[in-house]
Amino acid sequence: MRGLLIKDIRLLGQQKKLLIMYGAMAVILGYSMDSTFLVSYFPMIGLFLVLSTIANDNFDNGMAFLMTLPISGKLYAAEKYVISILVTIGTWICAVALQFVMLNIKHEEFAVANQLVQDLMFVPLFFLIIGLMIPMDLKFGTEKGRLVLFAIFGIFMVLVLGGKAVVEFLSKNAGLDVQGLLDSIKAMPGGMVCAVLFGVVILLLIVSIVLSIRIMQKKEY
Amino acid sequence: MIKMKDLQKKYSGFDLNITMEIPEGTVTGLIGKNGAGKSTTIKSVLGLIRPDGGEITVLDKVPQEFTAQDREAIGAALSDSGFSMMLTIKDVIEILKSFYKEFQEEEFRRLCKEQDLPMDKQIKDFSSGMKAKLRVITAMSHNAKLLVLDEPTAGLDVLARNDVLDLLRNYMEEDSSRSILISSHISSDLEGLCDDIYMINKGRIILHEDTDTILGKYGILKVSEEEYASMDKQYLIAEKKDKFSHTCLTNEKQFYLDNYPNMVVENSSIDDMIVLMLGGKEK
Repeated sequence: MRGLLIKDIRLLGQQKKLLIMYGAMAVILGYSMDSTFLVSYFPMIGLFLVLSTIANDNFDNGMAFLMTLPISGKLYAAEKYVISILVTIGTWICAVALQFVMLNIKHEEFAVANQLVQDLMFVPLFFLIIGLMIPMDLKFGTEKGRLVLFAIFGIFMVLVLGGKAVVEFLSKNAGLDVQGLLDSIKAMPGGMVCAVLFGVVILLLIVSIVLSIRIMQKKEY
Repeated sequence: MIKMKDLQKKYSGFDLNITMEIPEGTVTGLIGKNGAGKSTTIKSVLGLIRPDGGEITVLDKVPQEFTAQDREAIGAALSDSGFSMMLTIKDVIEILKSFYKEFQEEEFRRLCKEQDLPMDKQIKDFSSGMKAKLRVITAMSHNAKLLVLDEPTAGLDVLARNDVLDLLRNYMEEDSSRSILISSHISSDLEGLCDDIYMINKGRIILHEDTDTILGKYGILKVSEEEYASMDKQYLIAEKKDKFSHTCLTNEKQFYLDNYPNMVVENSSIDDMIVLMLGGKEK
């Protein structure tokens, strides 16, 4: 896996201009906007840059050569999760550090623990994106993968709106106490909500990894 | 090193069914027209595609079951694929170092320098010749027992082609137990390099012969209609009818030299063989 990690890090290193621009934007946005935005934006861009290495590997039929190196499809898929998670966590830590610096520069009052829990809520979202995008990109290629992902989001939105309609119907006609349910979720401590979210997303990541490994094992080049 | 028995792979409009054997210490050439099945054969050897039938073993293993360690014993160069064009040779060195236990960094750097390949330039800015040389040098960089090269000289000028072929000759001279499987549609490249040649057409092996035999015993006969009508045709492999004459390929040049002293008998090159066997009528 070390070889693949070095390859991807070197590939990212070749996009120096993009990385510098991205860092500069993070500082400007962090100063001018709500500092929480920085914590969502910074790792998200990093994540998309890492995922672009899949497109890069596929470019010019490059996967055929990669698969002649001492690796397997399984290892290739696993490495994409490892580097995506590493970059997400790394950029998240940088973003949080930058956020704290910005909050201090702007003399804004904040409680470190509360802010951290709030920032931590973004991490499951990033993991969810990793879990959805890697198998899509591996199966359909980056361009088609994005289209399939949009289609999935479309279906998801339809399900959410449908679900909302069902809940509204049940609350009116079957006496379902929606407000009470929402209040009890709100009453849960932030840390617990975070832990539940992490648990769900990690389960999803495991399913995604298994799926990606199967996709890679079936592929021909 | 490589054994294939009735190896089959089917695509729409094309099916491969071949038997080949590449022993230790030999350089074997695979020649044929574009679309004949050379790349499919190479990909089967490298485990990049799954066969639909038959048997294949490479270094005594089924390619689909290769471990990372097995793959370290194979060096591959594909005509249309390589490291990302965004990388530089410096990046490639770091990557190869971490992939291969036996990566010969000094030798790799020496060969790159010898072939004027710049260390800091992105591969996308290399010429076709430079890219091809890098692919071959990369394949040779980790002391592989077997090199599998798909059209390593395609699209190169004659000087660049000679450089690539010289690299391969030197690689074989360093260790006589190494083997090379090389595909090409430029047969003259293979004449001076290969011990034996397989000719493939429409997914089938139509000829397997030692290069020395092809160059020594095979010949081209240029005969008139009358000569053709009366000659012994048992040693003719392929022929092509022109307006007033016949051009024939024989695997017993000496027989015709001895028995038909007035007949025009020329030495045969692999190119002549391809023209007659793939473009003419097989006997």
